This record gives sequence, C-alpha cells and structure tokens, in this order.
Amino acid sequence: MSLVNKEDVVLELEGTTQKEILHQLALKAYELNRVDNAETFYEQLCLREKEATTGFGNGIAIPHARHKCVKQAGIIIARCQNKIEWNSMDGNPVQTCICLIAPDDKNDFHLAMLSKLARKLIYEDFVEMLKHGDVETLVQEVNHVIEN
Amino acid sequence: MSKKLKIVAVTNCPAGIAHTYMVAEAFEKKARELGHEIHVETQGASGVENALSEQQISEADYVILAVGRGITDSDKARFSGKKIVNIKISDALKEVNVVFDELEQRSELFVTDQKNIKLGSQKSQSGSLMSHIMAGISAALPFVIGGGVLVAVANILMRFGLPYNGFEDGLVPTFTWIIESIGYLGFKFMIPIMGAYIANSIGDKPALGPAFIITYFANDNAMLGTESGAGFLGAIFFGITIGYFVKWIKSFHYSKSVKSLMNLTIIPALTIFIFGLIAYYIVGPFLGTLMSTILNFLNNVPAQYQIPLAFIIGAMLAFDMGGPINKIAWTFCFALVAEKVYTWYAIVGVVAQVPPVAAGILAYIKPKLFPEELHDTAASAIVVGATVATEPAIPFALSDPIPMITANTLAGGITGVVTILLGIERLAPGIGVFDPLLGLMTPGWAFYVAYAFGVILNIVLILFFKKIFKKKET
Repeated sequence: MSLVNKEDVVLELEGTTQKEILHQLALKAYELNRVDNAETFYEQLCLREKEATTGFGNGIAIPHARHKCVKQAGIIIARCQNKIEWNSMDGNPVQTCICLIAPDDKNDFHLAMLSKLARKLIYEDFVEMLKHGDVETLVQEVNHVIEN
Repeated sequence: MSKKLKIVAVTNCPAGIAHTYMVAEAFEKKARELGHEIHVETQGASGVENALSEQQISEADYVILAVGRGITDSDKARFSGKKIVNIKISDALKEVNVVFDELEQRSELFVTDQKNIKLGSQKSQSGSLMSHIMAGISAALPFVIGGGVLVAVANILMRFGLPYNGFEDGLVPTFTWIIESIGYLGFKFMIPIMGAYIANSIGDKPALGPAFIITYFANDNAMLGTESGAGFLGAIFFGITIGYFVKWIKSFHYSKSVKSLMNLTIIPALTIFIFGLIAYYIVGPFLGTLMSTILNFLNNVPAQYQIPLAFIIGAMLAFDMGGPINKIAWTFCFALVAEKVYTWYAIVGVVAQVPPVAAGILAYIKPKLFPEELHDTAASAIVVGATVATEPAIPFALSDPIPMITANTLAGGITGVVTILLGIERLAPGIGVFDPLLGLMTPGWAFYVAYAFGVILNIVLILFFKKIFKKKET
C-alpha cells in the first residue's frame, strides 16, 4: 500500500480564494477517508495559515495540519483552476498545493514520510515536477521520495 | 566569505511536519554549496531527529535556532557559551540565502548558568548502540520488577508457614505456588522483551517479532538442550544482530506491491529461520561447550587454590546476573551441596544479592548516576534483589555496562573470598537476606558481615569505575 495514489491527485481544484481552496482540500481529505470531520480539519488548516503562511514561493503552498481528527496520514496534491492569492513569502499567487494530513500520533511512521516529502520541496526540479508533471509521474515520484 | 565554518542548527515549527524539515534541508543544501559543515537537529512531530551531539555543539562556530515553537531554557542550555543566531522559522526559507553571510553580525553570545540536564552519567545519543540497548531495558523493566515482587511475596509467605505445591499428585495448587508461577513469567519474558525492543529500536517493527522469538528460544535451555539459556547476553546479541539484519534487508529498494509483503511476511519468516538455526546450531553448542569446559576446569582446581577459586566463582556469579556464566558457577556450587560441602553454596547466597542491592541503594542516594526511568525502580530492585534473584541488577548494569559490570564482577569476586574465609555455610535455597533467620545460613553474623561488606564494596567500586570511565570518555 502506497501513501499516495492517483485518487490523491486533483488536477482542477475549484475556488478563487485561499479559504475556498482550503475548504476543498478538507472535503477531499474527508472523501479520501483521511479525516473524520471535514470542518474540523478545515479549521485546523486555516489556523495554521494564520500562524504563518504556508505559501513558500514559486506558486506552491503546503497547507498542512496535525490533529486528532486525522484518521490516517495522507498527502493531497492539488492544482488549482485559478491563481490564488496566498500571502506567499515571495508575494506571488499559488497554483499548486501540497496538503499534508498528519495524525496527532508521535509514533506514526507516516510522519517520517511526510517529513521526507517536506525536505524535497526546497528543490526546484522536484517542485517543477509537482507543478507540471503528469499524474503517473507525480504519484510515482512522490512515493519514491517518501518510501526511501 | 571564504572561511569554512562549523555550524549547528535546530529547527522546529508549530505543526512539526513541514517547515521543520524544509528549513533543515534548505540549511543543509545551502551550507553544502558554501562548503560549511552543518548539523541540523529537527524537532518535528515524530520527535527529535539528528540530535546534536555534545561534540558537534562544542566544535561549532555558530548556532542557528530556527524555532517556530520556541525552545525551552533547559534545551537551550546546551548552547551556553555559543554564538547564537535566531531566525523566525517562517522567514527561514527566505533568509537561508543570506544568513550564512551574516552569521557574525547577527549572532549574540549566549550564556546561561543553568546546567545542561543530563540523563544519568552518560547521555545516550539517539541512534547509538547504547540508545538501542536502553530501549530494550525500559521495555524489560516492568517484567523483572513486577514479576520479581510477586515471586518475593510468594517466597516470604512460604517461609513463614504457608503451604506450597503445584498440580503434582493431583493436588490443588496453593496460593503461593500460583503467584510465584505468575511472577516467574516476568523473569522468563524480560529476556525476550529486551531482545525484541533492542531489535525494534534498530530495525523497526519487522525486527520485533523475530527478535522476541529468537531471544526466547536462545534463553530456553530445554529447547536448546543445554544447562542454561543465553540470558541477557543473548538478548543483546540477538537484539542487535537481528535489528541490523532487518534494517539491512529493508534498505534494498522494493516496489510498492512487494513492500508490505516483505515487512509482514518475508522479513519475519526469513529472519526467524536464519537466526533460529544460528541459535540452535551455533549459540546452543557454544553455550554447552563453554559451560562444560569451565565447569570441568572449576572441578579440577586443586584444593590449595581455594581462595582464587572463591574469587572466580564470586566474579562469575556477579558477572552476567543470572546468565550462563552465573549459571555455571551456581551449578558448581550447588553440586557440592549434594556432597555435603556447604561453603561454596554460601557464596551464591551472598554474592547473588549484592549487585541488585548495591545498585538499588546507589540509585537511592545518587539518582543522578542512573537514567531517569530507573530511579523509581530502586526500591523494588532492593527488595527483589535481597530476596529472590540477581536479575533486577541487569537494567542498572546495562545503563552503563563497562563500569557497572566491572564493579559488580570485582565486588562479587572479593565478596566470594570473604564468604569462604568467614566459613559461612548455606544448606538450601531460601529467601536471601532472611536466610540466617530460617537457619539456612550459618553463622548468621558472618553472613551479614559478608553481605554488608559486599554491598558497600560494590557501591564504592561503581562510584570508582564510573568516575574513571567518564574521565576516559572526555
């Protein structure tokens, strides 16, 4: 069982504001059976953005939260239909979101996988692939990163 | 700036799953490009990884703290005397490109009086061999202590008059037999649990099951066909070898479909198979030969060498605390009881109690010498050690093996000599410190003299060797 499958990739996420995108991501997380309550997870995502932006530049954001409403760790890779104003570090709007869904459990080895992915996000070629690669490559590359 | 620097950094962030690691990676990448040496400790949701060693910190020119969740004073205390650069974790990804050029301007010398709080006399670095052994010890502690207390209670009740029998001859088992039998399961399982958790700490979950089974097997003398099982030495040996073996198998790249099959089926089955054969065909015969050779040697020591022999016996009894070496010495002494020679068996009665009681008392008066999880077990180590078995000494000994085992062995040897010189005799197994009251150990005063001597000597030697070995390390 891989952590990331085709179902975890959304190519045309609807929405025009950051809140709408976060809400869509939370609904998707619920749909994928990762969280037991979409609204709670949405609130957590918003809370995290309030603390500091997760838009770290280059059109990419990593909205994420760790909460007990998470049943199973997961990653959602979403490309938005529109460019979203995200209050990013470089001021540019966001078009690709990597949403990290983490359970509130210290021992979960999925946390280690998420951390490997996070480390990879500072490399331009990897980010380029996330933004423009096809679904198959995406799933394959992300799994490769987190399983090694 | 062309000077190559040594830098240490700590990263953490509110959720502990994204920025902690992105910033760590960004620091490492940038430092690589600039030719600096950097070590980054990540304090993420899954705990601290790549913990900075004392050496790394002491060698570092600068400390970068990119902490979104803050850092406690006691955690920060390890950087006392260092030049620290503070960065907000949320700005760190932006600042990573410039911060290495501005270290001197942005750093502030940090000094605190607060002593770096350490775990016992030695801090086990996470990921070090010692940290794996400690993982085994903390898992085994409740087994030996919990079980030991039950056995102690059973023995005390028994010696003070309660009947004792099991199912034999169609009898109904007595209360004493029942709680003793349950208690002994603690001793029986502490060894495999220790092996299992050492392996788990190294090779993760796929290593736990195999190491449990193999360590149990290697400790089961009936299954191996030997006089004694491999004891805690076997737990350490198989815990470590199985742990690294599983880690090694896991290090190959498997496709997704095979991965869970590997972890759940192939790795455990293969590991149990290979190490089961090693235990049976190599460790078993090795133990058997070792025991018969040493026993043969002991039996052939001429009578005039009684004093050195007493030293060897005492040292062996204390050395592996219930393991095979201890068992050989015990067998030698117990066999002589059948020939109505009681002096050697007295050594068992005295020396077997010394290491746990000494360690327990020391943990009471100087808790700082031992890791925190052992502090609360001091009292039960004394009670169980003084009445039943040497095993409670194992966790204390392994928390700092070289000085502790050296001290125990030497104290055991000398106490053995003292016991023989005082002419103490022990007629039958009893309940340790109370034996003279039951008439099993005579003369009683001499027993208590030897006992007190042994415990005090052991404590002094532990303090001495801990100091010596600590000096050597630094």
